[in-house]
Amino acid sequence: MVGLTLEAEGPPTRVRMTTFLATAWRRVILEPVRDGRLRDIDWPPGLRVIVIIGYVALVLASALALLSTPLRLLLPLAPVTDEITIPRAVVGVLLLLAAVVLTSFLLACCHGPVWLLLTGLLVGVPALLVMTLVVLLSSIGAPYAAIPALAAILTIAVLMLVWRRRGLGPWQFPVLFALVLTVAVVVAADASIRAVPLGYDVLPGQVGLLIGVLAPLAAPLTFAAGTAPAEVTVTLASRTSSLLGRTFRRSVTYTVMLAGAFLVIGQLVWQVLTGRYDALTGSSVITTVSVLVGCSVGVAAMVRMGRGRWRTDGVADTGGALGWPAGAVLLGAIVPLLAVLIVLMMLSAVVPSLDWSFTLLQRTWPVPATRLAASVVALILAIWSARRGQPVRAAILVCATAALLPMVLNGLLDTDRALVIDLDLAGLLLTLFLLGWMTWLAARRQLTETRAVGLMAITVVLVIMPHRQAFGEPLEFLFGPGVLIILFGLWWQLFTSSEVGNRDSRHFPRTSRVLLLLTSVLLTVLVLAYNSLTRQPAAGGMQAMAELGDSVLGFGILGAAVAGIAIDVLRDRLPA
Amino acid sequence: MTVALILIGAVVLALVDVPARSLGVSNGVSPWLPPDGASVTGELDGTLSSASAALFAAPQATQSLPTTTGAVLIGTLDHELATTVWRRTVATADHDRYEVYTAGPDVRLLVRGGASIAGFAGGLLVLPHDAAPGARWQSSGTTVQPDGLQWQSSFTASTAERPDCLATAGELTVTGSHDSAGRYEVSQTWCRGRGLVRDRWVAPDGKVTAWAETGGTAPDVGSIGTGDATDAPGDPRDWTLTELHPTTVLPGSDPEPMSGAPSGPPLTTTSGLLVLQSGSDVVVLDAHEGTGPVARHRLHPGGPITAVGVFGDVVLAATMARQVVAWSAPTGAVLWRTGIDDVVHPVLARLTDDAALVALASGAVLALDLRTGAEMWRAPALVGSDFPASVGPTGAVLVAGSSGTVELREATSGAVRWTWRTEATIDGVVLGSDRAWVMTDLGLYGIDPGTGEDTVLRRAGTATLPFVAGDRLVLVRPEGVRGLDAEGREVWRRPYGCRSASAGAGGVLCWQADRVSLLDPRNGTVVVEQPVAAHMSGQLSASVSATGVWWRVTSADGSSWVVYRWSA
Repeated sequence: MVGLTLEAEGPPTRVRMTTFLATAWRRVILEPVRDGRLRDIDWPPGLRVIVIIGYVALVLASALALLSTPLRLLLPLAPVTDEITIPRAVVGVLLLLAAVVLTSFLLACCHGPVWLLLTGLLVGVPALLVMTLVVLLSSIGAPYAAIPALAAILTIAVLMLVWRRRGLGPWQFPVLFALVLTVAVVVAADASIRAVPLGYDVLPGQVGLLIGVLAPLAAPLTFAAGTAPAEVTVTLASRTSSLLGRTFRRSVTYTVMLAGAFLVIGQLVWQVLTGRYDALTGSSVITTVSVLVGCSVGVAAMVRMGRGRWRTDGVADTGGALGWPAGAVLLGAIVPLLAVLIVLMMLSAVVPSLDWSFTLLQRTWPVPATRLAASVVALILAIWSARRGQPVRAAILVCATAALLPMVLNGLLDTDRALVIDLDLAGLLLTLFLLGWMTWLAARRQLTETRAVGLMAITVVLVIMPHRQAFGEPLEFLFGPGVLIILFGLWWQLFTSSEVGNRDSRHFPRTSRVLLLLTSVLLTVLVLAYNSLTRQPAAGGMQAMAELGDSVLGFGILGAAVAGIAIDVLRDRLPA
Repeated sequence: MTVALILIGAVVLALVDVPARSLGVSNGVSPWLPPDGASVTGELDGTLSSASAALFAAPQATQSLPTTTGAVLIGTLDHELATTVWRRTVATADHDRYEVYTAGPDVRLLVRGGASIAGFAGGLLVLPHDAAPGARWQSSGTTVQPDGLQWQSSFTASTAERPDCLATAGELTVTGSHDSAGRYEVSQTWCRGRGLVRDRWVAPDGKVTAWAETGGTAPDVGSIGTGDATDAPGDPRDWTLTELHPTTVLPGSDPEPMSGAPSGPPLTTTSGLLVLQSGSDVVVLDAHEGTGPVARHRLHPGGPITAVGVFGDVVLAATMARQVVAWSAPTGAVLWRTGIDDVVHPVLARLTDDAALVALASGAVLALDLRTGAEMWRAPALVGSDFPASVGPTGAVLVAGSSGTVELREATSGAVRWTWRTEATIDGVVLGSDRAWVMTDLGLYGIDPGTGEDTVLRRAGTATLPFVAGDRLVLVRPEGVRGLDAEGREVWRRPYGCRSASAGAGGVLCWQADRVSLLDPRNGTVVVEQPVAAHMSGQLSASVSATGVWWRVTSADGSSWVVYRWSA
């Protein structure tokens, strides 16, 4: 059992505030980055330069996303489709970035497990073919340009199979990149030679098509990016509170705890005065209370099952690591059902009685139904994790599932009122609980300094929670809706949740892990840049995706952290 | 090596993309020609008319001309279409007259419309790239229409009265056995960046054709109607379906089917004209009974079109060049042209009798004066796939803002009546007479339009299309259609699986797999239905007015120009 108390740390030392702030910066920002970033651990020759190229490409793509508004204002626009336009000058840059993404992805697949190789052959190669198809299907003149492009694609596929037997060589990325670039150049040249004389600029459409094919792969990481504010909130609350408790005198700890309590009360009063609770509905109250109770009871059960291996300090890291797989499962849960429906639709040509499969896709219930199935899987995984001594992961999954269930039920049930978790109400209930608990502990003279630190950490979460997404909003007019918060989340994910890329195994070598991580972040930023430059609503749905991540897994992280800190308070130990 | 390869790749990509990036920049276009989409007012044979310019790649130009004229153009270029051409359109009372020139560096007349079409193989050189006062030039060749006649021309240039302009004069001799053979006298004045400002042809029989720029504004800016028709809706049960086949009629030629690929729904003006987008043009047709609609004017705003709207007799088009252009539908004259910040949403909404509301991709709505193009007011707005505002019947407009706000504004001044805020994500807004409705991810909010207080919160579900029809809010989902009263109570529910829906004509139109149904918003019953199974094979574009429904199907079988009217 891991348990930290102030007594174990010895008496507090008087230090200057600057030292405290420097240490807090190190513990809240630098340590997560140090522990979670990609590290050069026995990287094979050639991998380092690929990672550097990847980081440069990331900076470039991020700059395109951030500067989309002035770029649209200053540069001539070209049509991507009948309704979508893009600054023409950046199309080539996007194509080059897409070539880097594809090369990195194909190389990751080449050196990864069999399932990844198949994914590369089924997604990466077809993505190149999609661009080439436009050349092939062009009705003007013979498609000679398709020959070198198809030859390059075939060579890529063959090389992926050949290189699989060897390790990463320093020349593999350049060769693969040259082949991918050959396809891109052939497509661009063909567009210039054959379409331009006819008055058509087809390259923006082709780049849009390519990014459109790859865009679904960016969805899981966008979901994960949405959890970043919750991760930072939890890390900030638990680590700064513990640090403050260790660093300053006892009186300072109690004073700050009380100040935090007053701040929470002040926030509550402000919310009441500004009418935030006026529109509360019975269904919201019931839903919010149910989810809070479900999350609390669930965390308690998981901690109990985890046989005391609870570490509040690990909530943010564990939550961050869950982001991509949770996003992949939640958003990809519909894929098997879609596959079944497509097969049924094809069969309906022979068996007319199956024609109901056509209308099924137009219905709204398949998405919530598959997410309900994902929730069940998450709960099973939570119990399994707790029994294997990973109660933190289990607790996050339970709270995330509790947050997801109302959304699922909204999609499945035709109720008059939506089942909505009201975060303001959740904050109110937690605040009342916190104040009551504080008073009760003080009255019974059980409010130790260690407990005061835990309660202080909860007040910090309660103060930040309503505003965790707000830092991007004032700049939305400049960067577009959601762009800043998604970019922050993606960079935070890359720097703090890449530990999986530092691991190594025979079936899933480190080289492939590093390349895959880099590819996923770069692809997601590229899709964000494209959506911003083309001014697609809510960053092409990525804002909603990130908000879903925040509402589900972000809530899970916050819920597990608050419940975990409460357990720490009960046990009279520090949260971090 | 890897970095060097990436840099080389970037350079190669940039180089091969140069021609495409230069598209629309008018590389190699003669400096004497006007910009794409420019329009001037002038007199043709003593009658007021307007002339507009379009710069096209030749293949696009063939699709933007009547079929016969396009065929002549192909002949004059000997099927070598990799060139940029300048289409000059002179609007006459009942049709356009087309001239097509090479765009540069020499300006050569390829096709000249009029009483009959004349095509000059290789092009009649009317303005060489080095033309200057005192210069002489000649050209010769054969005609394409009529075929096989010999022609030769001789021109001289002199200083024009206007500054930065050049006067040219010359003669064209056509030999062969045809009515059009003989000697033509040609005198023209070209101004830098403005094109032809004076054009005078004297035919062998002495007939004079003259066009001269007069400047000033179009003749009917003040008198043109911008309000909607006030025709009575009539009883939809009396509606019949009419199939219309648009044609082009040029003097001296037989009617021919429309060429080009139309897009968007058929729109109608108050004076009964039909408006369709075709490529980078907007085509105005007379909706003749019996013979079918006949093209009267082909309007070109300059650059690809992103939205087309009709307001009374004013046709509005927004372009990718970030401009909005207004024409008079009856005359084809440009009324005004205004620059805007960004590309606009495909929907152009009516705000008042003389104002339109457009939404920008950058997140704003603009109120534009339909008579002048002046910006009346602007407000920040949500960027979404749906139009971010809804105009109500009481001189107000409901605007969804970008940061969880909804504002009710005065339609004329843009002044804010009230602001409503929500933590929810706003999907869309609809304004009725009794309620302002806001669709959010938390549900459907009903707001009192007088006070701005929300009084109703109801589930709406995802994929819901809301419409206000009469005093009902109609919610259309794949699972069915529901009618709500002002208090958000469900009044009726029908299991119609609408593929798409729209409000108008006194009801809600529900497009199903094989028919379109007009639903009574009061009780959800089907007032009248029209089988349209044959039309659902392609992408259907429809518009609804008070008096009926128009639609068109984009299909690959060449029938895209067929227009269907379902009305009294």
